[in-house]
Amino acid sequence: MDTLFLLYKVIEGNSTFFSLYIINITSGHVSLVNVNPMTHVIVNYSLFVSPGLIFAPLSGAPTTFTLQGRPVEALESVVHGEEVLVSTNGVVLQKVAQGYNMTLVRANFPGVANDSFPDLSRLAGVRGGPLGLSPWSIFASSLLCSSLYLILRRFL
Amino acid sequence: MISRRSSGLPFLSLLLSLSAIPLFAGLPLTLYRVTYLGTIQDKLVGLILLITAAVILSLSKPVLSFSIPLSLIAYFFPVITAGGIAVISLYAVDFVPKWVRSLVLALDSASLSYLLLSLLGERYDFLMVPSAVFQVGEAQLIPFVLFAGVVLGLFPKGVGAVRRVPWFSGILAALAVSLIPLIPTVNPKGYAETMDWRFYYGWLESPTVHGWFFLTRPLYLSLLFALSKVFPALPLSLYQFPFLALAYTLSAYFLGESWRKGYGGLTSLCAAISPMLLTFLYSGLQANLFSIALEFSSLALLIRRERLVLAVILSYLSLLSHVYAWAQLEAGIFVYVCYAIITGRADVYLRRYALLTSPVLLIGLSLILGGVFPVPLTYNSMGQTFFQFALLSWGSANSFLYYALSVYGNRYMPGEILGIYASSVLAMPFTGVEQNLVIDLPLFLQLSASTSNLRDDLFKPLLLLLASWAMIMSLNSVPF
Repeated sequence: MDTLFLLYKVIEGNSTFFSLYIINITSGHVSLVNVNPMTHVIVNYSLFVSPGLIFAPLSGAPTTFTLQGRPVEALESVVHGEEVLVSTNGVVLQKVAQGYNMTLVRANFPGVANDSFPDLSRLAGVRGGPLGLSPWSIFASSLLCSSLYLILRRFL
Repeated sequence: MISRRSSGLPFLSLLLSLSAIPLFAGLPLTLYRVTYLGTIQDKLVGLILLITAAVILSLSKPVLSFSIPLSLIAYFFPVITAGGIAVISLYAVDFVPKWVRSLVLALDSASLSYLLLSLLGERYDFLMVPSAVFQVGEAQLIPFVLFAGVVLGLFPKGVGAVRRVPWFSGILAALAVSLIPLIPTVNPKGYAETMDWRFYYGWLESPTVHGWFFLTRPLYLSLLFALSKVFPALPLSLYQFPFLALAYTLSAYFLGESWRKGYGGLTSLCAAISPMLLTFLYSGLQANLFSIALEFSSLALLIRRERLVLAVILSYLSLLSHVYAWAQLEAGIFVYVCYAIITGRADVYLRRYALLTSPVLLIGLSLILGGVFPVPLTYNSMGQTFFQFALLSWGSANSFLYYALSVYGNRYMPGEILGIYASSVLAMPFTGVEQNLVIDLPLFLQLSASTSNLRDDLFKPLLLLLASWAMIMSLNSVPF
């Protein structure tokens, strides 16, 4: 079975980032990966995520939510001034509050969607791995490093 | 026989076991005032490194072969086991091999390229990782290192050598650390985000002599109030830090000069690149910084047994600038004075100094412990200690190499400094704000003593490593 995940796009004030919740059904463990396209940083938090962040009780008026161009049956309700859209099996699809918007953009979860795992480096806007490794950056920085090394060894 | 020949192998296993720790626990990296936990975590590679370290250790000293089975416990207690192997290899190190200079130079060049490229606007964050492994990767070991410093202080080793650096190097470094966040290309906002300035600005907007904020720092706030009549309040509160950093560096210069002639340049440089100053850069605490600068000047006079009245006046000015910092440093001096009186080493100057400051110290301590100026008193677990160093104030006080090098300097310190050091470090487990105890310490004296007694080829590369790390942290204090 593919990894179960929920990828949210979060807009908070004027900053935008992606929160990826990876759900391990056998251990019941949910880990959180935060991807920041502005700072090009991917952070993997291995921690216990409160289920209330991604699951919500079923209540509200029926409506539809569009995920990757496909309609998903949803229930819409307002809790504590926060507009919450929930799929019919309890997954949070969208949370909207004053200056805050969290929307599901990609998921692999039964009853919601069956998307492939996202390319995190591309989401973060980095060309290589998590710390921005790309052939060009490795070449340029190793050139600079080695020349600085030679200079330092000569003069220090 | 391999064991008879002295080799650099134990040092290699020390480095390997130290680099295993960030792989086990994750590297807390601070980029653009966001601290990311667990960036290069890879438990398998860490385990391989640690076992390699143990194998190398037992090859160089067969007596220590028990470290191989010990290293396998890392499967259950990774960080503790890696720390244990590091301590065993430190015990086995008999000399520092020649290649360490090349290694430190390589770390230097990586951090310097990171700095250069970042200032040019191109950020390759992986260039920061090599020095970060030894600087911020070992946050769990820092409390143990600091406690080991108390033990090392019990074995004095004479006065040691003096190494001179240009007298202005400290001032240049302080200016660099405090002004990098103000460079327009680095920080389009135009001001450094030093946290607490908002409180000072708020107080200048509506000055009041009531309440905890004024009563704990009346002199500093009055000084700001007087200056706000000349300069507008907003820039005044925004740009406090560069001037305070200079005051701190100058007081470090006087403290170093008064302790031993010719030491001032090195101590002021060590103060300017210290994690203490970086924590002030990240979290503000302006009155605290002003207060310790005054108290260090008073301490400089005390160490030379000169101008008693001025020393006492400076100490009282420090009290009025920030009660807590003063109480911590003065209590350390008081511990030393009590020790000196009991062992019969106290001179007239010291007795008079104690007579003039101890009544106020007792009143101040009773006010602090009595809850008028509250202090969080708790018992800190290991997890909280890790949090205090790795996360609090964006991990700016997290600088393993600085602490590890400076505790060796405790063997050359005069009693007054040792009193301050020991009393503060021993209070660490019981105070909710451990980090605030560490940042008030004059660790730059210890660092300059220990680096002065380093081998010639390591002195400059290591100082450059610490300095470039300070610049990197200063660069990353800017919010994105």
